Amino acid sequence: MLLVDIVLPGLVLGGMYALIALGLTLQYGVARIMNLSYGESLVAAAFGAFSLYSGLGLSPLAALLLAVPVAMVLNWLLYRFLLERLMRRGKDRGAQEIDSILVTFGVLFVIQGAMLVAFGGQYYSYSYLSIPLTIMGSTLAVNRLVALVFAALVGGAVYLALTRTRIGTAVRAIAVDANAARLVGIDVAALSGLAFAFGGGLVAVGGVLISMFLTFNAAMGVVFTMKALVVVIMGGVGNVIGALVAGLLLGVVETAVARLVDPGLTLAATYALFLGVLVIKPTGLFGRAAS
Amino acid sequence: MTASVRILLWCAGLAIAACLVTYPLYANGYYLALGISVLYFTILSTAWAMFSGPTRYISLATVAFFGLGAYTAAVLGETMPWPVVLLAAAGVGALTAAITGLSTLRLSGIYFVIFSFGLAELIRQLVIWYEVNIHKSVGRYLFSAVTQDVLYWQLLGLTAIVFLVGWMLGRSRYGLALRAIGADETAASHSGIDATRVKLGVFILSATFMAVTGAVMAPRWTYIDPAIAFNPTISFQVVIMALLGGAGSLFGPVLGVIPLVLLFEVLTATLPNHFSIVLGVIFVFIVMVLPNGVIGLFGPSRWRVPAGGPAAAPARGSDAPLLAVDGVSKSFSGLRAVDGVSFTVTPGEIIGIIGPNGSGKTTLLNTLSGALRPSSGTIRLGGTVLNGLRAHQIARLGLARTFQLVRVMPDLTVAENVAAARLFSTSTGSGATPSELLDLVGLAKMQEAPASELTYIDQKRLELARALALQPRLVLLDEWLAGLNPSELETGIALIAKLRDRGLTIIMVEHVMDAIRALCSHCIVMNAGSVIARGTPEAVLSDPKVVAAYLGGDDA
Amino acid sequence: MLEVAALSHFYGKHQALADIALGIEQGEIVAILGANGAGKSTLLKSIAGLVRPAPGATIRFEGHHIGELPAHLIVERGIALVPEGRGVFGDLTVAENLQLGAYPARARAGEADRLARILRLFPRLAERMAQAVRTMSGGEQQMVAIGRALMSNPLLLLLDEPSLGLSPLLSREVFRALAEIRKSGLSVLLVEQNARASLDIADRVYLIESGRNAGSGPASAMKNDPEVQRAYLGKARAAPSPP
Repeated sequence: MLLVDIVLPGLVLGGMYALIALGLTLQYGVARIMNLSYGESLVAAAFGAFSLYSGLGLSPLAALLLAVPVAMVLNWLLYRFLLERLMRRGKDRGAQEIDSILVTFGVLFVIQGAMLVAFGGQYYSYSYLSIPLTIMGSTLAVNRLVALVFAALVGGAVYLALTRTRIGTAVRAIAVDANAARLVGIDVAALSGLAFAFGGGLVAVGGVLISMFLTFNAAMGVVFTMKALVVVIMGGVGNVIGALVAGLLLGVVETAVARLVDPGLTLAATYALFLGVLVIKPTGLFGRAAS
Repeated sequence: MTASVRILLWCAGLAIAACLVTYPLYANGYYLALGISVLYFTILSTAWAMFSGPTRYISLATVAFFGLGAYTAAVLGETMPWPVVLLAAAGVGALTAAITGLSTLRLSGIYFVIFSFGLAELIRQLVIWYEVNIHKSVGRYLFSAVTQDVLYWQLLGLTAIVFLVGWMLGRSRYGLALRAIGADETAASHSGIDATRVKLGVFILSATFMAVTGAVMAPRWTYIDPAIAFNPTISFQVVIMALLGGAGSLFGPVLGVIPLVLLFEVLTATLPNHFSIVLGVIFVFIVMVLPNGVIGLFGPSRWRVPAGGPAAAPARGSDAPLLAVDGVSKSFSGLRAVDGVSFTVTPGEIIGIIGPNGSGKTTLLNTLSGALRPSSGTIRLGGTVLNGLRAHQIARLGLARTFQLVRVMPDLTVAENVAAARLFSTSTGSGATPSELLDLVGLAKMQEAPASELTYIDQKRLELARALALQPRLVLLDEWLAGLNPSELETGIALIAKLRDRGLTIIMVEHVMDAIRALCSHCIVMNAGSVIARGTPEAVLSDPKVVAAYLGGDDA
Repeated sequence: MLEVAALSHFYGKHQALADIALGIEQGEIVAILGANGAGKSTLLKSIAGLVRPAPGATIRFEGHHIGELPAHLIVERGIALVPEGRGVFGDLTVAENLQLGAYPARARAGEADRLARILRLFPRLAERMAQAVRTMSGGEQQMVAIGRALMSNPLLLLLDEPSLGLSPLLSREVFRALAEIRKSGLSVLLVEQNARASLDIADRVYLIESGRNAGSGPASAMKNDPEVQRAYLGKARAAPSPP
């Protein structure tokens, strides 16, 4: 059943993309930081889960309880001590974005270098719940299914928090119009830091879940950064539903290209899709022209 | 400069050149390799700054062109003569830059940065796919007879060419045009500069140099795979070197290249495993300590300005309408900002357009000057239909404008601002030179000052001088008098009167009614997108409909 | 309750405000009149903390200096600005916009009551609570903006051009709502180009020209003051003040 063979793994992959894109949309959409070291954080979380599993025999799902708070604290510190200063110093949006892009580019090299020192350049994977399961004639490992369920749970919880709570609404308000947010009494700097930290937490979840079923190495962070960017830009910056839809779409498209055309072209397909969207509609498929 | 000093400088220059040329003869392997690194980063960062310096588009795609050049050399190197290989690399780089530039140079700011980053990754992935699937091996061996000495000399020659081309570009009108675009693209377009073509041209030029550098460097590695040729660290190093040295001037980047190449060399030697970490930390540190951010590193740039030709005398004469606006409308997603406006302007008169805030006056001006396309209706300037023409084409036809929020090109000097409007002028008549224009608006003494340092009213004067430098048949003034204090207002009104007396035709949108009364022969009053009254200023300003539109009426 | 003195502001080299002084008492509606570009919006933004005044300015609210506070803390003190162009969150719904209005701590108590009162004031909003504000008409967006400001339980409301771009009908509806709002004892500082409507509703008026104070007085006295017309239409030789 070719269709199921494409759609099921496509959804698993797309769910991961949607989750990590949700984190990036919090960081870029709300805190206005285009974080180029995003994928490196994801790979770092994957290495963390690997070390805990192979060293201490800790299940990756338990590792989440450790990885997420650590990632949040680290991201908050990064925001508070490096990025917030850039935001305060920048004369305009353009200057802030360029400074933050270049600083996070530097952070990218730091994290990547640290992982290269610790783990070298080779590929890693571990076997956790890799039990085959047959669904509608298509075989899928249990770990992928577990990852999908977790991604859905975390994504759903974040979505509800953003739409159903006052503080979540305030976070979205900053993404829509930071100046108007100040006028209703929102402390934009403090909430932006919080949103940045939450984005870091989400990418840690993504990294741990992905490590359960993908092989990874220290140099592949940029691939995830690009994929998260593709999804965020396709979905429209700051648009939560857009990120979910675009993430799932990308997962299915990639799986289809790998399955029907050539596995070697999936990354190229991602970039082509990304560049195409940037050229045709920079505000995203679901986004509107910036006000 | 005395003759002896000049001779001394020439001698010093020749001595340095001789040292550079003979360097491989006395430098051993390690120092030769270092020299090669300095040279190739010099070419890359100078080429990068050629485009990114004036436009401030931060490109992370350097390695895309560099890698393409290297791969071209690897593929063709053993079958074709070397000069042909270099030409092919140049062609591949230029073609790729043309294709990507055409579609993407309208992206600005962060989107361009991300795009350029993505472009490098996309090209790398495509090359990997091609090599694995078609060539059936990830890497290639390139055995060529090129020794390190020859490689060095090739790079030295290329360095000389890149500086020569950069110097010529800086002196040509394209150099000033590019800086004008970087300073304010809208103002540049309305000064007759075709922003897309100028940007694309220089982007291609810069990419060509990067590709040729890649081809020249290819033999150094013997073995090439995509991870080496498309290493994103190179893009990153080039950006920081160019910015540290100063992307705003021709010889700036090389000042950043030398210390950083030496630093990277020391790092690779002493901390080979931690190179990436230290590089990242240094980079974060550099960005953090810059007081004005990375943008501040662009700095003001000073290149010589091409001498402007004389300006044509303003048109004067017949009573045939100079501008005929017929039923022009402009809608924004259903909202009719301008609704069926018609009027004509005869040569030598000043027409006032007035009306309350939000009545569509600026939108109307924007459709006339090509900033917006009218949804319907026709606009004719001396018989030529302007509909559908782009801003720079309309400017070249002789329709100049100023902006509601004053737009000067801040990094350019006063004289350069005016010269920028002269670059692509097609008019050949005789008349006021740029310095006469600056004299006319009262800025004669400020010619060399950067426009950003002018006071508000002086910036407005400069904007007017720039508009006049187009040798226009018609000038649109959008609230040119707004925000001036009473004495400045008086000078401003006198200046416009002087222009009228010289025969210039003017349309002014204005809220300062005293100016309208003093200057305009005829007014049209707009409210909610349509014309509600027209006639002499006295007549329309006492029209109850107009008073109600301004002050709010019971049944307006 | 609000006292402003020696307020100046520069945009680069351009002086937008020069030594502005004004005061508002509890329960007053004060209008600021002046031509385009006179600096009215900058004045409101300075009070709300969106732009920093030049050194030497005094802005006191209820006896406390607020000139140095960030915007979000000024809202907590009880000053709400409805900015020119409304500043609503276009992608969010009416309900979310109003809920965000009650974000400051001072607004949490009695939020439900205030919401009910605002929906009585603008019944159109009650029907459109789940609609994205971006898709609404200009007049409805203005109601959302005013409603959102009222949700913050303010003592002083700053309104910047509330009738800009509205049809006369909607503009009247906005002014009717303002008349209603004043009954609750709220103070209002109003910047408006519709001078007649402002003079009808205001207690006192300040005239501003080129960023400077150019006169003030009770609204009733200003109605027939030729200075007001001059500020908008210039010095007409005949100055035919309409009846």
